[in-house]
Amino acid sequence: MNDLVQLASLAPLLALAGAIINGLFGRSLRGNAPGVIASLAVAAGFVLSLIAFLGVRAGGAVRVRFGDFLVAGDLNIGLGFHFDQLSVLMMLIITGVGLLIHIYSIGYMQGDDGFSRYFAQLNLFVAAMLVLVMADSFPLMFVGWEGVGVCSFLLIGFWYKDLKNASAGRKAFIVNRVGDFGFLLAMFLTFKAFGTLDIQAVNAAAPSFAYGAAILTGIGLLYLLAAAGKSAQLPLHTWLPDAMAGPTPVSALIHAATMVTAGVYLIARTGGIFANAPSAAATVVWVAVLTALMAAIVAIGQTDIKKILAWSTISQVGFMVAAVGAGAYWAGIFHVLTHAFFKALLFLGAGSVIHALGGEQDVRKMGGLGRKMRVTGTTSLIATLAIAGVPFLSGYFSKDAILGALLTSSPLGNYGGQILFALLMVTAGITAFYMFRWYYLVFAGEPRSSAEYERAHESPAVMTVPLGILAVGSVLIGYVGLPAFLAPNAIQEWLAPVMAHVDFDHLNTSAEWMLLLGSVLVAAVGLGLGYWVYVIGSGELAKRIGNTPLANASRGAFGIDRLYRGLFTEPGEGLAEGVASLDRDVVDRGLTGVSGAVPLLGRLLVLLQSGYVRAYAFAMVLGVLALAVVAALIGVLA
Amino acid sequence: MTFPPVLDVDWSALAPALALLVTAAVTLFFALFHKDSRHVAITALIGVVTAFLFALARFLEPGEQVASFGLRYYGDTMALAFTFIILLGTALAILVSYDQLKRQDLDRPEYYPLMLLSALGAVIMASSGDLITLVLGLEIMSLPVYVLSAWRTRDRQSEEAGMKYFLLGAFGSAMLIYGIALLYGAGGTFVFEGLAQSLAGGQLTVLATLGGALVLVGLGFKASMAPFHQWAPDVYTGAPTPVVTFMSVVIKVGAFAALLRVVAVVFPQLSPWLITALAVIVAATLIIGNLSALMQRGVKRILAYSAVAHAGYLGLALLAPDHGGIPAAAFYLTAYALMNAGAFAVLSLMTDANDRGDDLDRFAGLGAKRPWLAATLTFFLLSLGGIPPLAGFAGKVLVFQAVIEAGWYWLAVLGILTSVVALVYYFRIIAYMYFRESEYEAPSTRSTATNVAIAVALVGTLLFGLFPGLWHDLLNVGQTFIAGF
Amino acid sequence: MISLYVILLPVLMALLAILARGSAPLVRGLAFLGGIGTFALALFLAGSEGFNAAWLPGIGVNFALDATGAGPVLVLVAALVMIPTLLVAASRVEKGAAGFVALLLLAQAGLNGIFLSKDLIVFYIFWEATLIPGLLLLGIYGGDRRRQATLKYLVYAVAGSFLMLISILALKALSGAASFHITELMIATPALSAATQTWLFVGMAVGMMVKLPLWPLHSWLIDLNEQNHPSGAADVLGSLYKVGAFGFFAWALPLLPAGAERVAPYLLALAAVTAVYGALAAISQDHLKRFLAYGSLSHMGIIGVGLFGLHLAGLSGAIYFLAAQMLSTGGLFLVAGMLYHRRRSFSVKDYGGLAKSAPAFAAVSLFLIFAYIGVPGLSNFPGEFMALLGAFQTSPWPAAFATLAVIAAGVYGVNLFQRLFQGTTTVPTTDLSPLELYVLVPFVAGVLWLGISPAPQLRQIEQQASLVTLQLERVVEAQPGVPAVTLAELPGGER
Repeated sequence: MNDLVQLASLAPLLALAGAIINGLFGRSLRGNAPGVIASLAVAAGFVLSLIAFLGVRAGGAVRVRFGDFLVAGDLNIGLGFHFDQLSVLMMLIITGVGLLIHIYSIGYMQGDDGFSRYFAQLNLFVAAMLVLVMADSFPLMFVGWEGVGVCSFLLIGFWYKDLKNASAGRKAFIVNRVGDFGFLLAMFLTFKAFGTLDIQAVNAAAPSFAYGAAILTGIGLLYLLAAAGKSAQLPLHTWLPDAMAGPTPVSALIHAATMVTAGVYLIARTGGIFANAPSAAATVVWVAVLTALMAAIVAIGQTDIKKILAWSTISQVGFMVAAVGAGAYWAGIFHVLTHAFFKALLFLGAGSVIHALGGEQDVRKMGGLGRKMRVTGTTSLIATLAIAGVPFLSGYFSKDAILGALLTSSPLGNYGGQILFALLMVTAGITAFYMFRWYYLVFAGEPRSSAEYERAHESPAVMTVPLGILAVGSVLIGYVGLPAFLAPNAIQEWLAPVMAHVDFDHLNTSAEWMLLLGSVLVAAVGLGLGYWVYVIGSGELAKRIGNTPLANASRGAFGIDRLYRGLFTEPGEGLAEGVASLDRDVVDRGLTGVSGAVPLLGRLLVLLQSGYVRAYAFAMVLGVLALAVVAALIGVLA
Repeated sequence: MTFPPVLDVDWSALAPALALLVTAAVTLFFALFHKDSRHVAITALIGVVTAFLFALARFLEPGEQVASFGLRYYGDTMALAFTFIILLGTALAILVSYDQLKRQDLDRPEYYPLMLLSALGAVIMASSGDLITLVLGLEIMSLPVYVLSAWRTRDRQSEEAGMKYFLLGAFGSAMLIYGIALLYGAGGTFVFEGLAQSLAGGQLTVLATLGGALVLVGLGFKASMAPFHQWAPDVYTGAPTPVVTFMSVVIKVGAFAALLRVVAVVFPQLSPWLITALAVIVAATLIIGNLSALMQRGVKRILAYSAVAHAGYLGLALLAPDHGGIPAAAFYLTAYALMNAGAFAVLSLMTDANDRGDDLDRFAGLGAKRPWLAATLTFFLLSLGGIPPLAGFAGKVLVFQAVIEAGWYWLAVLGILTSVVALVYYFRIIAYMYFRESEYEAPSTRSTATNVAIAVALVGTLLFGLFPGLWHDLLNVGQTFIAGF
Repeated sequence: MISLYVILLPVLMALLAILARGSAPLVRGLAFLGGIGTFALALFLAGSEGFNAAWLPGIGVNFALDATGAGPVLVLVAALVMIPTLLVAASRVEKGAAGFVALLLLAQAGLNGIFLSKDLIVFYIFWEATLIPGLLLLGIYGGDRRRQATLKYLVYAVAGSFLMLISILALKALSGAASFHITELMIATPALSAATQTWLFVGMAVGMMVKLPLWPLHSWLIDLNEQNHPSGAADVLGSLYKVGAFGFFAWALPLLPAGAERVAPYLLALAAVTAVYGALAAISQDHLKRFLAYGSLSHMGIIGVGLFGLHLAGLSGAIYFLAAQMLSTGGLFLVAGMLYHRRRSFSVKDYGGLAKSAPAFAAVSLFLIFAYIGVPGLSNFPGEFMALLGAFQTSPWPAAFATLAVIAAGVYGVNLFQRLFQGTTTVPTTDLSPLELYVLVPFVAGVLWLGISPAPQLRQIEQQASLVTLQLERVVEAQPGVPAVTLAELPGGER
């Protein structure tokens, strides 16, 4: 069995091969060939992941080491993969959702002159993402970590001719670099504390430190910075909305389903550290919850069909991070799983709409499209309900699990667990509200722009079929994580062996029921509110509340972007300019000036060379006298 | 002490000097009949080679007896080593003069006899075992050069050069002789070894110290050490280039040979502050020589100041006689003879018939117009600047190693800092040759003889740069290098 | 003997190129032959038998070369870089290509000597001799302000290295070592008093700081790169000739451990400053070559951080980075040259949107830029990572500060790419010509090679890095006058 699992090591290589083929020869390939090749590469990866999954289920974790990577004295980092319950699950998500999105893209990117380039970069992304989750050491994980960042940079700026897109990609890359800075320091500190960078070894050794040891807290906070960068959490969330400049399938795959959840994965992977650094873990939760709330509020105010979903993603990832921070690692990963389905579905639906409207993205110009785009409309509705937390759909279970975790996590208890729970509860409600708004404005009601409405048409099968599959997933996938008190929780049990242990208070059954009902209630309130504002109030109400300060803040995303521009970007540029001119005008000049003194002395000496014999003789006499006087003195003294 | 009898003569040690003397006489006689100085030149060259062979024979099979005339004339390693260098310099100078005399209208037959006599004087200085021999050598060496400096008659600069050199030279010699008198008064003998013994352990007298100081002045003048150096730039600039080629090498070698003997053998018995004084003189020489050269535009004058500067580097070796300074100095002088003569040889091809036009601008673009000439000059300049892998570098390493071993750290640092300046002004010439377009047309002068000289110098510079061991191993014989040391 | 041949072959080829300066194809052939030949030799260099001959026995100098430790790695990478560089020189230099090629080859010979010599004086000889070809390349083939640049370069380099020479000579004089051979010195010098070692270390450090280069002794580098021949070939040499780090690694640190321990903290601070300073300065450069100059200045800072952290991983990483940066920096300088070849301008302002008309060019450039800013999986990452990691173990704060350069690198890296290749197309340009493709392929290959399998090279480097740490450990025990290490204890000590 082991050998079969090890076979899965080929998955990233296959994706890489696809990328290389498309990258080098893509331009000479006919028609859909690039898309097909890329999809096949990912499909193979999916099969291999499936094999690995079965293998791990049968025989537990498997580890492969291909050779050394970084070696010096006691630093010994190998090129190796670690297949365990967590990594294979992630592999399945990446390749599975990835495959659907690859196929969808064949239709979506039809006729783009960067067709092969697109698939090369998409394959490259899958390869990097797989390395990220499969790596057995932090440095190798970092290879994937930056690799996905690079691909995200490339794909956001895919339509680089418009500098706005290119700049969005640049922003994403730079903000992510800030996170990477945290990741690097985290690794340095980890090595200082543990003397190794092997993930398993670190997790194993973490408990040997004092509970809540300062160094563990430090490491945890640094990993949090890294996670915040990739997963667009406060304060590094600003790049994700701009990232919507990329093609929509990219937003679905990278900026919804997979890459942005890398931070969640990182924290889950380093659970050993966070489980022993409660204050760090609590910080994680606070950051996550505030992010979730803030993003949800902002999502209400957006008018771009994709921006709404982007902010929703930030908010949802906040849920996941909150879960892993609270120590309910399974719940976080569970939400990664469900979210991968319904958020990918939402994006692809949005893509289908944009495709149909020939690039229109303003929801105010849409409406009633559900009637012309049945598949897109229905699947989007399912996804909307799922994310809103309507009972018996996937989002409902995962969200409920997270809320429960916040309430019951005992280490979190001392750091305001209840408050966090309440805030996240509210956020869940807001989620339902803005998602209803999103759906209603796009698909329901009367068309607001007849021109756009006329143009609208359903997308080809190559795009709608993936929508269907994802819709099914969005409904059913939640049942792998039924509340433990009702039925066996498959995913919790599956992940249990690889997750660090954190204590949770036990809720009695009635409390569990209360919790379930509570989240149902919240979802209902949110949706109801939406119905009241947009259907009954038919938008009038929306206009009326539209200019309250909160609404303005929501529209302007709390002005954080502007704040950063004033706080970092401009001063940063100023600093760069300053250093450049300092170097040019001070450092350089200064040293040149010093050396300029030498010729001056030389000029003086040349003056002595008068050319007159008498002058020379005089100089000699002086010399002789000097010697003679000293000689005399010495003699006298002697 | 008991001196060996005065009249036991070791002819094999004397042979080189005699060869030179005879050739000088023969060529002088020759000159009466031959209008064309080239034949004279060839004869002179033959004489030099003969002298060289005599010296070589002696060098390969040192006789039982190191000295003649009762320790007054040595045939020790040092005498021979320096004889080699002197003959090398003379040969190169003759080759440079071969065509130049005619071209520059200096073609008078007495030229070569005078040169040979001067070389003879230098050889005597290098071999001298007592102060009188030393003075004899010094005068035999100097007087012909006074004349040669003024060789370009009806040229005020040349005459002025000769005049200056003569007047100041007289002053220098006077100091030397006065110093010798004082030393004699203190030690009761002229012989170095005798002085060393009689002064040893005795009470230091003002007489002896002052004597030593004045000898330092007299020889320092010939070696162009500050503040007794000021004649050098003017004379080098005024005198005909072939003559400068000769004296920039031979005079220096003679002077330093004498200095080494005196400093190594006699000074240890004199007041230690004399060494300190010497250190100060060396420091001054290094600073003045290099910084002044930085300011010049005439290549000839740059090389003149660089010659002063090199006197400073050689002076470093004087301060470490018992830390390998003496072989270091010998090696350095060999390298110096090659690269300096080489540089002047190239220069002699650059200047006009009236020996003017050595301004830096004239060197602009030379790299394109006369690639080989420029390339060779580049080698000589880099070697003078002490850039590896050229002879100048090996010399520099040896000298600085010695002076550091002797503990003169401040002087070593000063020396190295000034040599940064030196490299700047040497490289300036290279920069003109390669980095600029020229306004002048390329100098057309071509001369096989001069090319031979350049080739020899170049080969030597490279050979002793790549394999310095070849020569240094022969010199590095410890105490026996200088008899009585 | 191979260690001798990798020095002699380029010299020979250089002389032939001079003689063949008449015919361009012949010169091109010789250049190619020299590049390939040296590379071929370098492949078999590691672990090959050394070479030893008396050079100046009077003062204990032996012409000793040997192919252990980091030297062969650096020689090999340099040789790989030189092949395309020579090709560019031979075909893109209009006037006097033969001289250009010859000077490059001579410089390569000198570099190989620097990396392989085991005698301190011989090391110095190569160190100094290599300066001259660089100076002439700049002065003869450079731009309008080349003369000022040359003078500056000369003064900085020579002032530094001459002081270094004094330290070198004093090293033997004071320690009473039998010769200048590394093992002889390693036995004798650590016995010197800490104060003496400090002075000697400072003396050597000055020379090496200039060629590292460390702030504030770096000005020469900027002008050098700006003024060098537009083909960029000479700048590649510049990126190879940053041998200061190697000097510290191979000589100053192992010979003067006590001095190193005293001075390293200050140098570490300077290095950290250099890393961030260079990166910040790079951000706001419009001149392509100045940009690259500042960028690599930042790299050198990180290398310095790795060295002066005095931690095994940091030392190995620093030297690995030194080798790796030859590829990315060198490659980008040639890319800059190719851009100039198209538009006769180095100003980033004159470019934009090239990706449309020159996709392959854009792709390769982006690849090299990512390597340049240390994206993992590519050549610069392993060295950069280990350098910072190692330094962090001994002195966290400076290392952390230097790590900020990673962020700045992200900024200047993508900025550059965006300004050159993205946005609206200004004027369409031709894509890579076959020659340019051949020129860039070795760089791409090398970047991948060093990025993906660093372990073998790191092991070679570690042999030598461990000497440094070994000597540093001795400092604690060493009593003045008592040899800190005995010959037997030194890896490869028996000669």
